[in-house]
Amino acid sequence: MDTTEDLSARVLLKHILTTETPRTPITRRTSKTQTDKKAASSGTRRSARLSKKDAGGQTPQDILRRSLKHKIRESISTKSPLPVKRRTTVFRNTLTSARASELFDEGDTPRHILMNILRTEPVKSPVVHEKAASEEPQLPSANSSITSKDPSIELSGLELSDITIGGAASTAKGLSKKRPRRSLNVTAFEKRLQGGDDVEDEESIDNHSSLSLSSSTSLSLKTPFVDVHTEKRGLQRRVSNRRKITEEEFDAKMQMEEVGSVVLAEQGLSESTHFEGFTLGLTKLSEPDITTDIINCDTANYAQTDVMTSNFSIVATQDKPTVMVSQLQREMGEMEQEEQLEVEQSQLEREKSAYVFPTEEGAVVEPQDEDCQSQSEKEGTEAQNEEGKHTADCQPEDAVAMFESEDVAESQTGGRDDAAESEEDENGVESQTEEEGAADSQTEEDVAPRSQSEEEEDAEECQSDQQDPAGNSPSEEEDVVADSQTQDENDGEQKDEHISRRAYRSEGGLIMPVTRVEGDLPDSTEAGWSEEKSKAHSASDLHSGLELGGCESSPPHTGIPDWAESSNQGLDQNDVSSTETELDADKENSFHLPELTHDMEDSGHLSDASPEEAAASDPAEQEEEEKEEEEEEWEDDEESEEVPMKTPAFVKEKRNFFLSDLLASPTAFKNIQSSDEGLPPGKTKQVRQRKTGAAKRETGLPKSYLMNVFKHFAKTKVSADVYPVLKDIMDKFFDRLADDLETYAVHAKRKTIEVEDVELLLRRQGYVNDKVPVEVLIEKYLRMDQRKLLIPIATSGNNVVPKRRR
Amino acid sequence: MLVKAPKLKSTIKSKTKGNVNVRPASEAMIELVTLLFLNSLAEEAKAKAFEEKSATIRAHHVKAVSKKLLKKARG
Repeated sequence: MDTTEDLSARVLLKHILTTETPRTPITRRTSKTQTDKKAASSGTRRSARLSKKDAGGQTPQDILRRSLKHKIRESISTKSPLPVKRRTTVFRNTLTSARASELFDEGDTPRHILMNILRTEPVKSPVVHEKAASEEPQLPSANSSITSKDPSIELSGLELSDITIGGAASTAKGLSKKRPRRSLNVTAFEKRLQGGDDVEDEESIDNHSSLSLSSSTSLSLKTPFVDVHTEKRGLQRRVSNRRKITEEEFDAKMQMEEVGSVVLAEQGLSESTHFEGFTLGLTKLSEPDITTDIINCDTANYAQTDVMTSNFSIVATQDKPTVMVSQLQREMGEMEQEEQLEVEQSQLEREKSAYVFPTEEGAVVEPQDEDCQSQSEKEGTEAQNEEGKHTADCQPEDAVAMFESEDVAESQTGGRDDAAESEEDENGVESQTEEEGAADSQTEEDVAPRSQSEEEEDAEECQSDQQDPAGNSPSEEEDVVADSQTQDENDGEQKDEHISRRAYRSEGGLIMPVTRVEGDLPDSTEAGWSEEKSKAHSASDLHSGLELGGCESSPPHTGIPDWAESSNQGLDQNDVSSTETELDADKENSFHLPELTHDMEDSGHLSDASPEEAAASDPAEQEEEEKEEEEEEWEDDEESEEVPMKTPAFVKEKRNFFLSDLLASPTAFKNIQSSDEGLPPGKTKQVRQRKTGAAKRETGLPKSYLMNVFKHFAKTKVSADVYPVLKDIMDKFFDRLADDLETYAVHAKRKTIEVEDVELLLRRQGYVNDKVPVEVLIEKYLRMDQRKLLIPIATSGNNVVPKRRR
Repeated sequence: MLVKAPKLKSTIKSKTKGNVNVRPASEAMIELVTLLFLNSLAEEAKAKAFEEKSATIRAHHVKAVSKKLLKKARG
């Protein structure tokens, strides 16, 4: 059919040519020749045009051809009544002239006919457009309109162009619609942010009327809303949903405030820079759990240990009033939040009055919780004061019960809210302390409470049973750690904090609240403990290395000052001496001492690590020393620890509870907690300590460096909440990295990771190809001092640095 | 990048199971590896944030990208 059309046109032309030549009248010769030429040209053009259409050979073009056929026929029928063959008659210039006059003024029939035909196309193009839009895809219509323009442009000047202008304008509008659309997209995007329902409708409409004239106006109005933004809208919705959730959570939390758990929530909110919605949910969940858990745990603890119950009951009754009083006093001088916390604690304590322990724990926990939270907010100085005061108050009466309760409370509450919060806080705080250095005030504060706690702990240790060896040991350890920092203010403070935090981590957060408690600075309120303080100070003098155990303080009190002096000078010496003392102390004193020593040792190593680094001493040497010390300590501890573990089940229960609570928390906390509590609950604290000591859980790269580099590479704004995720990712990355490098080195039977090992790793990861050599990357990313190590530089005198060993 | 990566060596050594040493030259190489990793991480996270039409990189962007990238950086 198409061919027929084409043939018709061609036939027409042929007819024109054939008929014209024999009949060339005089008048029309020129015109005829012209027309012939024009016809030929137009025909050729037209044929070419048509052939172009044919060349496409696709359905739209076929449709075009049909439309053209229709047009031609219509044109012929209407304007030039003759069919193809009739045109020949027309050529005879009888009718054509008239028709020509109608449409074209030149006067030659074939030419005029062709011109008319051509003109008719554009004239009818709008109609075709409409039909095409309705019946056919838009392309053919566009093509027809566009193609129609061509002949008009080619053949005629003014007349056709007038007609085609309309079509051209319409098509141009249709084509140009996109541009204004795009420019409006920004505003549309903004509008979409506000309301998204209209977008879909508009877009759907737009799709249909992209080129149609009828919808052009509507398009123009709706163009801004067109586009892919629907998808983005969906994404936006998600965001809005999130916000709603967070708001709801926030509201819920606000309600919680009335109950008294607000403090936790607030702190969670304040800390939520990292977790946004996560912490909120956590706090909500964790808060109620605390009370229930505490109560349950209390019962479990007490059911098993008869001795403890009696002791605790006594202590509990005594402690409550003192604790409350002390707390209230402290609150006055401190943050409002802390006050609220204590009030809550008192309330909680009253609630728990059914059990002696629960109340104690509640009192202990809450101050601890408070401390944890407040510390997180204020970086611990004030909170420590509270906790320290609280502990100080409790200590004189019956330290054992307090510590045990603290341990229980810590495990429960700390694990849930505080642990999550405190862990993160600790991480942040630790990093800060590590990087920036603790303030002197903290050291001072830490010293006083710690000293007191130490003495009490020592007494407790001797008396305490095996029930809470794990619980006591960390707490005692922390106390000892705290004491040790009296003289070494800055270093000691940092170390203590580090140790306390690390110990906390190592023990899954059980210790942390205690450490904070210990870290608090008792102010004048603790006059009663001045005596203890003095003793504690002497004991604390020892601990630049933070290694003396609680038991040690009693016998080695005399030796402590001596050690303290030496400790200032050399950490290693202290470690050695402390290990020795620890060993002795363990053997002499109660069972939990070894645990403490373990903690102490671990913390001591950690503390040693930090000052060592600060001193810029050879890390290799220190590490070796630390390892040696650790090995010694572990051996000793193992021997001594076998006896004290009488209630592993109890401890296991506590840990199970703690772990289960932690698992319930959102994944954001899991990352931090899992590493700490990845050990099976059944393992003893000693085992955990050993593992942590062996693992030397380094926090990894500091926060400032990580964020700085990440922001530099990102080149866009980076929110601060990416840090925990980023840290976790880097942890995993370093794990794999170290593993791979070690494998490569071992494969090469070497004990040192070499440059070629790392280069092989880069190659395997795909950063280094044949196209991209290693040197390119080196030059791109590394500093000059590092580059000097890797790429030999030739200096004067034929001196190449670094020296090539090959 | 302008600052030496603090505690990089000790971090790596803490992660290794066996007892291996790290040469300063290879420490520089390890820093190169970490920088490359962070670079690709940041780029991917930026693309993901862009995909959500957010000019700020947030934690969930990074988390969504991390798994794929860690798999790639296995070697």
